[in-house]
Amino acid sequence: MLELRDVAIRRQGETLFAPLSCQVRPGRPVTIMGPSGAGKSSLLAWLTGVLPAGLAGEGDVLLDGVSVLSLPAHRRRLGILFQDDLLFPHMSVGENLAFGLPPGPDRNTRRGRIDQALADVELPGFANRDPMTLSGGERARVALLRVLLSEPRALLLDEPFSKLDLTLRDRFRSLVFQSAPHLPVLLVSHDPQDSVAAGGDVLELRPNERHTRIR
Amino acid sequence: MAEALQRLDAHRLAGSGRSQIAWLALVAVPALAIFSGLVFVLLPAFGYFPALGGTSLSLQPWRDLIAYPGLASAARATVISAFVAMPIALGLAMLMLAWIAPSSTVRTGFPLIAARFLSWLLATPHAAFALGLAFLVAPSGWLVRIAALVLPVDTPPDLLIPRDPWGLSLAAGLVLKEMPFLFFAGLTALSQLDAPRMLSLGAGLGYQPGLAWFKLIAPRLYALIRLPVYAALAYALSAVDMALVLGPATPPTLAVLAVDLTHDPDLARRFPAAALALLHLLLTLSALGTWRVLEIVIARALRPMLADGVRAPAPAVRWSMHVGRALALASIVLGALAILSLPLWSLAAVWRFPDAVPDCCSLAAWRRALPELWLPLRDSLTIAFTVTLLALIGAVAWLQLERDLSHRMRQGGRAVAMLPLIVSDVAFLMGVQILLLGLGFGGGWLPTALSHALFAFPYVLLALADPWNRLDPRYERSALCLGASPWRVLLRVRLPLLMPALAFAAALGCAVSLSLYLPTVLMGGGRIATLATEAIALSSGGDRRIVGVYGTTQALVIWTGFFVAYWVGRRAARPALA
Repeated sequence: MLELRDVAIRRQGETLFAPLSCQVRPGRPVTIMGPSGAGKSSLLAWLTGVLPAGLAGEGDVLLDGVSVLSLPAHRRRLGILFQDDLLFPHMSVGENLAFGLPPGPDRNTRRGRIDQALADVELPGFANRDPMTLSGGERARVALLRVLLSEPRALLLDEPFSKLDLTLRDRFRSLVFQSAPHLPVLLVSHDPQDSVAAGGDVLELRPNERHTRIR
Repeated sequence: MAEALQRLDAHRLAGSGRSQIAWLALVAVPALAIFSGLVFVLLPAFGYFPALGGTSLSLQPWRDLIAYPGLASAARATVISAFVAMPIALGLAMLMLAWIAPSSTVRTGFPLIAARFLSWLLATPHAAFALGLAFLVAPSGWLVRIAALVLPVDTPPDLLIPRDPWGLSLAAGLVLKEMPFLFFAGLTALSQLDAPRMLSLGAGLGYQPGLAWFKLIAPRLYALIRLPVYAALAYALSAVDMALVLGPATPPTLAVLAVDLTHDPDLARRFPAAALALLHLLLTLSALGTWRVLEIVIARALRPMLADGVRAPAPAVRWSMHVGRALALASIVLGALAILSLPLWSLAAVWRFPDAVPDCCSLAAWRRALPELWLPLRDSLTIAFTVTLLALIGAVAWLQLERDLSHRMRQGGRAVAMLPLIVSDVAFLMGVQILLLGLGFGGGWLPTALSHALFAFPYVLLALADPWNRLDPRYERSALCLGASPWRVLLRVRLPLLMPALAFAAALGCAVSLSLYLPTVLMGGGRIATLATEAIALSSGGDRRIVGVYGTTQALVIWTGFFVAYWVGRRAARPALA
């Protein structure tokens, strides 16, 4: 379980939003809604430990009851999916996925897992493709696989559906939520459809007010 | 508004034919200079140049050249110094980038201080830097004197440093000077790579930050800085000023040997000199080819590491990263001490061995040098200002004209502009010199300034191009819609908005011109003395105080230029009062 306790982000002493608390359980994604500039992306940056200079976070973040704040970004194992797929352009699709996969045991096993994972999302035989030659929907699926293969302890979604067209968006959204039933999923978005699809709690981020729980 | 934009498009279409021709004329300048230079080195290299008495093709120049004593060891020292220096300089630059500016912004504290030092090293001209380094590492130099504080040293150790026959002192100088160059080339390129998000993604996947940088950023960054790397390699092979101070003496490096031959009063020696210049061109091309092959081999060997999923560097790697960081720091400190030793020597009253600092301070050396310093200072500045003006006008015209061109044409044109930095300048400048000689010109002020412009132009163009393309096009569009003519838009809107970039490009142009040694020597016909050539000429005389004065002056003039540019840029950046 991922738990946020009285989390707030400050810029020059002023909080971007009123302190936020929530519990995210596997299979029950939590959506944080808010207009642009409300601090959604800063919140995720802080959770993952890469908050830019000039901003400061406070509160606590617990994974299975243990605070992750003292850990550096790369030890937190909070997988994140961005609006853009951010596939590494200097690696093939397969190398991108291998980059996500934990090390070992040997090349063939790794290769097998990657091929299987690609086949599972209807991209069989894509391992040697250059990410640049993929369509937007295909790239999104590869980005999702890369995060899942890295065996994260929770999944953070930074509006990952907003750049896809409508039909793709629905399909990719259900794929994301189906593929992570075992993980706490925290989604930030300004699209109400996202929260409906996520199906769990929805919090609205409002500057310096109480957050209204919509559902 | 829409109507005005249509008018603008119509205007562009009508003008594009003419502007293409004008742009091609600009591109032709460096292309023709290099082409004619290479032709007139190729012909005399095979004995043909009627003006000098060579009327038929022959291999005699090559026989003369091969008979020249020490040719092989000159070639050896040239290749060793370049191929020892370049991988180290590149490795240290990459380590520094990963360390202090992984995502292109330099944070405050130690990284900022280190970056300041690096920019200071970069802004110091090669000649002055080499002289300072020679003062520092000589057997009776500052380093030994500092060591004498703790070690029992009472006579200078018997070492052939600098100017060792293997070219290793020269390699050390090249490392210290090229590392900051490659660092800033990388820092500029980093901003195109979306590094912050890539690195946070790497962290999200569990990668240790340093390793994430080398797996995600370094391979793509290298592809972007390939051109500066090649330019640095070409420079390392053709540096004359640094080689005269730090490189081996008899025989010297190939570039120095070529310049020596052109100083021979016997004009028949121009034929083997041309052959040597051609050899230098071939050496440069094969060095660049070898480097390219090494790139491919190393990329092949390292590629599987991208996909091995390893999240944290092995202890050995981590350990060697620490060693690399220590080396990078040491090289910055050495560079800073080298620069400081110039003013220190120029102000030294008495500096007995092994005192760590001189009895300070005496202006005697400055008083002695000033009457003769004035002339080269004046000539250096006149040439630098002329060159900078030419390069700025050329670069603005170039960028304005290339807007309507296809991406491929633009890239091609840029590549031509960069040629002087990649092609062996020893070769094509000697060709131009032989051509001028054949036409009856002995060289002088104008050929010197024009040759300087050839080298300053690519730097000025590169410094302007990025800000030029980043300027929001809506400024110009709205000015045009207000009825301003394209000329007025350029002069009153675009250029004022780009003032900080223009100021920096101007300072860079001056710095390049003030640093150049070889073009001045070859094109000046012995009549042009700049701060760079005088400082190097005096260095063989051995009066460290006077050399200190010249080196300090050369560096000070260039630093002042950058300081003024910084100040102009800050003033211009303030919003104008409405």
